[in-house]
Amino acid sequence: MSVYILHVLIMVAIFAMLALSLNISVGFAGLVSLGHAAFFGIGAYASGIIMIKGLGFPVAFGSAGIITALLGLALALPALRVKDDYLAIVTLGFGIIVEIIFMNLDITGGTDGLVGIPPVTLCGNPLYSKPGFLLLCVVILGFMIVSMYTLKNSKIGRAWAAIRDNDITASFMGINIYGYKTLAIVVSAFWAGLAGSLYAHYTAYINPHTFGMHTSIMILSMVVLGGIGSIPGALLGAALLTVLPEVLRPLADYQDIFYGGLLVAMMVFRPQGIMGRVKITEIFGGAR
Amino acid sequence: MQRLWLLVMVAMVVLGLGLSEARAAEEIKIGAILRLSQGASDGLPAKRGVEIAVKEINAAGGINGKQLKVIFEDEKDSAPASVAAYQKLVSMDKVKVIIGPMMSGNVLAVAPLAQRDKIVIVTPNGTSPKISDAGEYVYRGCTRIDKQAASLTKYAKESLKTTKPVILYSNEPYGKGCNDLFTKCFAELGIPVISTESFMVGDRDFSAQLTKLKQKPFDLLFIPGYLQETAPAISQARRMGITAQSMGVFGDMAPKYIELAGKASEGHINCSEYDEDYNTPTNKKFKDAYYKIVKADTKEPNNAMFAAITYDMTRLVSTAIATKGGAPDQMRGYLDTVKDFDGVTGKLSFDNNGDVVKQGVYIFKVVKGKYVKVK
Amino acid sequence: MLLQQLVNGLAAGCVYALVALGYTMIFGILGIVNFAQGEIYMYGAFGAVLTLAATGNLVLAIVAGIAAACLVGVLLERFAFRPVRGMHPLIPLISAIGASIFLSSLARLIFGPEDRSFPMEFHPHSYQFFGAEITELQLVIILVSLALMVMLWLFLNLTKHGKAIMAVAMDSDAAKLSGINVNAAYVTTFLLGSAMSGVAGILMAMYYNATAPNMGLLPGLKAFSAAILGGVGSIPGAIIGGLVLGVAENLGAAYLSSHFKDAFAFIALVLVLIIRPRGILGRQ
Repeated sequence: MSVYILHVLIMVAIFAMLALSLNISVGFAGLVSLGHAAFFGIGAYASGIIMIKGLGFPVAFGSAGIITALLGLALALPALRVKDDYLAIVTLGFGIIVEIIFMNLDITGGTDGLVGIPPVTLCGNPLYSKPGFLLLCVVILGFMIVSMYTLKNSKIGRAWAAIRDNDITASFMGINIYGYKTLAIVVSAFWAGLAGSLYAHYTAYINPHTFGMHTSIMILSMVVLGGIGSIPGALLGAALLTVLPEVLRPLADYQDIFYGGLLVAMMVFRPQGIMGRVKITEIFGGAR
Repeated sequence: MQRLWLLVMVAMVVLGLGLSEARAAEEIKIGAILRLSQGASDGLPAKRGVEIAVKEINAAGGINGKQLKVIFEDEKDSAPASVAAYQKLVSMDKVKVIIGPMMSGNVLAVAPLAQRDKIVIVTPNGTSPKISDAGEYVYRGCTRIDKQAASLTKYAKESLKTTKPVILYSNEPYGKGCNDLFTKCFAELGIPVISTESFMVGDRDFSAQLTKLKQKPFDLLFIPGYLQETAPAISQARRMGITAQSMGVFGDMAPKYIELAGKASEGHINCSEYDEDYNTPTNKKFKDAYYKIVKADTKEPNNAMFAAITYDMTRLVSTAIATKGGAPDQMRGYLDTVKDFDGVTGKLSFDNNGDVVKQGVYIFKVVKGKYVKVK
Repeated sequence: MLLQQLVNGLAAGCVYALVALGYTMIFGILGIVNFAQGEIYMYGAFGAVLTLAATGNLVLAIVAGIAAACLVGVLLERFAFRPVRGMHPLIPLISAIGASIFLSSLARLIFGPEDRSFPMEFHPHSYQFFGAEITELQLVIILVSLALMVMLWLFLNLTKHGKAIMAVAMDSDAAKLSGINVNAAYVTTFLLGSAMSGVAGILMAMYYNATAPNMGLLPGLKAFSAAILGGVGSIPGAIIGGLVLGVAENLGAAYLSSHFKDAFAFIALVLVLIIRPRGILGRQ
């Protein structure tokens, strides 16, 4: 099978993980995050640096998830204290600050980026083959999808749904809003970190620019285009926005115009996204 | 409704990817990964350089009778985009050689893949020293930044009599690399750099950094970076009353720099890979072709140096295919042994690391709004 | 050096303040963050630069620039924001982001990606005081910005239309009930905000001598931080936010580190949001 197509599919898989992870905070719990690429980056750098220092892939992979989750916690604690409207802005600021930190630390290679990241090793054997890597990604993605559904239908998921619809009412019902929101961000960060780890070992080279605002916006667009809160929607959105630039290659100059126009058009004509519920177009949650 | 969307999407994917597979077979294809969307002043001229070379070669009968075709991709100033472009060129278009990427970071991202796939890549202007060690399939068409640094610092010491330089650099791989290397070269000449400040790509306000630099007296203001920032920087410096000699690297080698910096560019020293007055028939032919394109469209950026480099690289690569064959190892055989190739940037050959060797760096000075070669 | 950095910061801050006013008015009245504000700024600059290059008449160029900015603003309101009013906040947000991407890539296609210089020479006069220097251009920026801010304040507080806008910002339902034409208020708000950003763009085209399709991105983000810093929805807040941000950036670069100059805006933003979310002058 064409190596190029395999490459595109791997990218779809990784971005699907990112979209799904963002869907937890945005779609399940109703928290707007504009800095998600920062978690992607933290996971990528953490995993890359750990493997360069000599540790194995399972350690790097797991640590990437945990370190990112911890940093998510660090973000959530102060960030959730602000009013919902401002959360988006705080996450935006967080994303930008993290990118600038990546650019200026020696251990991350600064603006040059991290070179020579070792590939994924399974049982001591480096995994160079693309179909093999794709399989690995699909397996992990599969796990993710299953856990997403489990979460959504669990007590946690229902608590999130209650908070998303109206957090004041939810707190009256005895739900610890603060705790559940923090949980949403931490879990979302964890999965994004894992995706980052896979990405780093696949491309063997990362630099800060990949994890900036542009990427955060793209991941958010995937979630919104697919339908906020919908799991198949997130998958579809990721596939669409990853494949689109490849398909539009002959129109390279017009690509961004098309992307921007697509976003506006989708919001105006079908704001609930491809798979979303129409309910989302009603006036939302708290009063303005 | 939802299922319809799904179908549409799948159809688009299959169509899009499938269409790219169906290409003609009776031509020789090379790929080019250049800064097309972001590189206002260097990417488009670089593309023109390739186009001029290809047109010339095809007009003369192509390569052993087959027409030469180049497929351009955009590196989008992003490592993942460069890698995706590389993957597409190699596995869908089946090119055996790629000119580009232009930015060092992107070259370093693509290099390990090129090594593994045994595809020759020739970067026209990646300046990072790390590229020399990137592998035997990686070639470079411009002078390494440390050699540029050595030339310029020597010139600064001997001709400009610099004793107290300061550096205001662009905080990305190119500018930072320059900062590190020039500091080292100055130190080797016994000249300590008094202070350094930095700015980001996209910044236009340098008053904070310049005010800070002004606190200590200096006699040379070195600003490495891309001209979109270096030109406003020198302009603001002059406006603030800084009269010290200014110096830059080859990012400043473009009429656009003089236009944006205005009178502030007067006296500016910078280096370049290309001398327009280099008197060979090949160069004259190239210049005629290039300036014809520039005059035809006012929106066309005018930057002969970048076009010259890609023009030479394209011709080198085509000659390699014509004389030794189109397989990567055959091409390498030619590139590693070629001597005194008639390029517009000089008489070219490659050293052991795949870096181009020519008679050295040209140093230019801006005099009355035009570049004048001084060395 | 301190005084000089303050002067630099003040000039930069005035420009942030002008754009921040656009953000704050639109957020205050419509509740949406107009991510495309930076693009309005950019089209204002291009309008002026192209008109000046074609006619040589500075006054005409400035008018054209403001008109261009207002046109973009009005089109944005009509096509990207009005259709999604009142929905889940993410929807107008994505619409604004999409519009921003669309507008800047369109500009790149129409105008070409290269920077353009401002087609007019400025005499490098500067005035000295207490060891600091202020250039003529910096002075122009500060004075023009102050003039515009005063005019805006007068408009909003003393004219009928202005007061109508304030009323809609406070409570759009009540305003509608008192007979105020809410749609007209929205359009007027966009016009005012766009005009301010347009002027900011023109001033910057002169000051940096560089007009490019991507010039709105960074200033847009920083002005946005300034608006939040000052207290979203508050006009004096936006002004103070802009000035504070400009000064903080320059002082930070001078005394801390110029590497992080751009980060200061966002660090300040995050700190403010955590410590005092409604901003310096924001109402609760």
